[in-house]
Amino acid sequence: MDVAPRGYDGVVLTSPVSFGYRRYVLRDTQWYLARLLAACLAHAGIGKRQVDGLAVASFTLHPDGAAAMAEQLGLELRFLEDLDVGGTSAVLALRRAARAVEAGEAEIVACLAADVMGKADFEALIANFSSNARDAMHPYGAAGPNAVFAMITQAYVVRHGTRREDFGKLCIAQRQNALANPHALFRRPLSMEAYLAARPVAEPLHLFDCVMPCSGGEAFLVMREARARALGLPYARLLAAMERHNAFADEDLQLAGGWGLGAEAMYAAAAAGPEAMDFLQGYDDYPVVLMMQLENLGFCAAGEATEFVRRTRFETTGSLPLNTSGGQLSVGQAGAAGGFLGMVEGIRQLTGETQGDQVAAARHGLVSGFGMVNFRRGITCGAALLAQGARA
Amino acid sequence: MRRRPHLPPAARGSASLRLTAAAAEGRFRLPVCEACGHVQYPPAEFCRSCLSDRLRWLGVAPEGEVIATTRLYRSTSRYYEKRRPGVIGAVRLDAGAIVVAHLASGTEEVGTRVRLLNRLDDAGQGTLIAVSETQDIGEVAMPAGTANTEIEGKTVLITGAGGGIGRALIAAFREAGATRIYAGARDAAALAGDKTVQPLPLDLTDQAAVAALPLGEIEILVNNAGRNFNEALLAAEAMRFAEEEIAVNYLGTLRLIRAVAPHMKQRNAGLIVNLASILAHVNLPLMGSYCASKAALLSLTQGVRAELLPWGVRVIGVFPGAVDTAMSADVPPPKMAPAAVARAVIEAVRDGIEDCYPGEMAQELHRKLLQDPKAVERELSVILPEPK
Repeated sequence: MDVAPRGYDGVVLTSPVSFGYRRYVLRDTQWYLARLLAACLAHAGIGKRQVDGLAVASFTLHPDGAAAMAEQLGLELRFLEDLDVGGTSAVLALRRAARAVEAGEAEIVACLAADVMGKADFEALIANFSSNARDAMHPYGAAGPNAVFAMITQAYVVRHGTRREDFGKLCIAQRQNALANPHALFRRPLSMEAYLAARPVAEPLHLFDCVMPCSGGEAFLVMREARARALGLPYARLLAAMERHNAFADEDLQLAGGWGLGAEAMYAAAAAGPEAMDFLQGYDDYPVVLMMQLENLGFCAAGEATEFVRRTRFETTGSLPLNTSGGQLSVGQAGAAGGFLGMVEGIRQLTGETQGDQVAAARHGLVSGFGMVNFRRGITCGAALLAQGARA
Repeated sequence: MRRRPHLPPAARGSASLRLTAAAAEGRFRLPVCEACGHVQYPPAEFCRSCLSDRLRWLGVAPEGEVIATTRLYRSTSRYYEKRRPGVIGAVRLDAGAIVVAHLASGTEEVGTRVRLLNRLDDAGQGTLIAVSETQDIGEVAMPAGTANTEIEGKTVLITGAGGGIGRALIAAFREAGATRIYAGARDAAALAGDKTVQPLPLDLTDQAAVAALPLGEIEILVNNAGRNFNEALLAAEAMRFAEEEIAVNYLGTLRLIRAVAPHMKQRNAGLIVNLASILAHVNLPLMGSYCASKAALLSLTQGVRAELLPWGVRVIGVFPGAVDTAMSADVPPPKMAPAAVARAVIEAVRDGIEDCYPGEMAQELHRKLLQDPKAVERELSVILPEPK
């Protein structure tokens, strides 16, 4: 722990792809992954043979895994990563791919995430999510993360005096950001009246505090900067990243994620602090998790997110653009691809390839992930600090 | 045939099935690490703190404090979707673990001091319910999910109604609010009937007699009829006795359950109570063939329980020690009063208990059987019949 983690040297992210956001689709996850890879290859102007690394994140790939997908996609690989970490999957895929590329153990790693998540798929997923959830949450009618995050939100509100309007401000800003995103499932402005009047799901959470499960996919490529330049690609550079798992395990309920344990070292490795961030693609399965990230990632002091939210604008034109494509709260949560949504949008903002609103002069951005909600907490979290490389 | 009812989610890991085992006896127990003392929740087969696998299921203090709550308006469980909103909460146990539990009314505020009950739910699995520390459990409206425990207003059939325990059961169910009690006995004429109690002639070995019962009316079936010839297995006349004990205690009970069960399944509701004996779990050679018939009844109880659980029908096994009745006149004391057995049956029904061990003798033998069944076998084997 005493050795400061090193930043990354000459590793870039390119070819951001978002695909197939639907409530109802008669396709399998394998098809989604194939479409994503094809789109990445087309964007990069390369063939399958140039891809020698694959990272796959999905909840609905069963009975296949990453290895079976190598066979399905006809890829010959020397790097393979199978990610079962939900909302942290993009940060973890990136970290592993980046080190492999840096070390010369892979040239180009395709990072793919997709899920086909109809109602039955979603119910099957949460019914078999983890033994702790099965044994200690499901028997109470509380399968899925809603109940856990309802209790966490309540504990946070009791501790910090956060009002529903404060959470609502985040959701409404993200909806504003989603309006120009063609993939977003929710593209009608959300008013505070409508937010407050929404039906309760798991008090204190109401409809617009929860993500909509859907099908969809996200993908990007990781390669060396020199390679991207040779291919003439727009790219974002990876400066530093961190991950923490099962942090603060002895806390009664989660009031902070593990980001705070690694944020300082990450900023030091990147030689850029939170004040230098032109946007935050924060993990947004529930607005309370955004509150934690604002604190733990150093945008404000611990316990001060409520005040910070009240004085900050989160639209793409605001002082801290947040989830500039609308985030999962407006785009929809395509299973493990929900963990890729912010990463892919972060790349786009830095390369100028956005499909919706562009943050003016975006030079640095932070992308975070969070996931695996079993009992009392989300277990995994991570963050990656990206910088502008070559713009489109 | 009517469809099976929706039940609460029943899947559990093997460690959590021991929570069910504790709930079946009405106990609140959690796994405690012998090496470091950490209480494990959710249940595990190793200590999450020190990784030791020496865990013991102990009766930890059930008191704690509500630290967060939520009212659930949606559930992926069809069972809970029909019973929403449900209130659940996180409870910090004084013993050190955080659990999630159903919150009974009056405990929905953060900071409420609560006591946890471990109850079987409608799926037959152990679930935790937080009740106010100061509330009398009898007064608490149990949350959705808790096993059906109503006696009031129900129609009951009690077999073996002419015997000591049978008469005590009639009195106990009447007091608990059953509105109609059919009292089945071979000599029904000897039983006093009234507005609530209706004597019925009943020979469990007679298929026609069983078929003639008001089967569709029975909401609670209490299988109390039994024979005991108090003979060792190798005694001179014992073959005939063994056949009759099996014919009544096992086959007779099975015959009646088979007749009543279809009606209970049709209603997606019902309760069956089987009066066995602690000697279903270990043989007392002095009455060896009786014990064997009760062991068959125990096995039957497990089997029909599993078959009926998906249909919303509960099956309770009652395992008393010696009871002071005419049938046990030759058995030496200590013997418990029939009324105490009947009281235990009522409590088992009301508290959602599945395996009931009334009285000190049954409790003590049960405790020791869990520890070392072989030692109990040997202990009882020295009590042999006098040579004749």
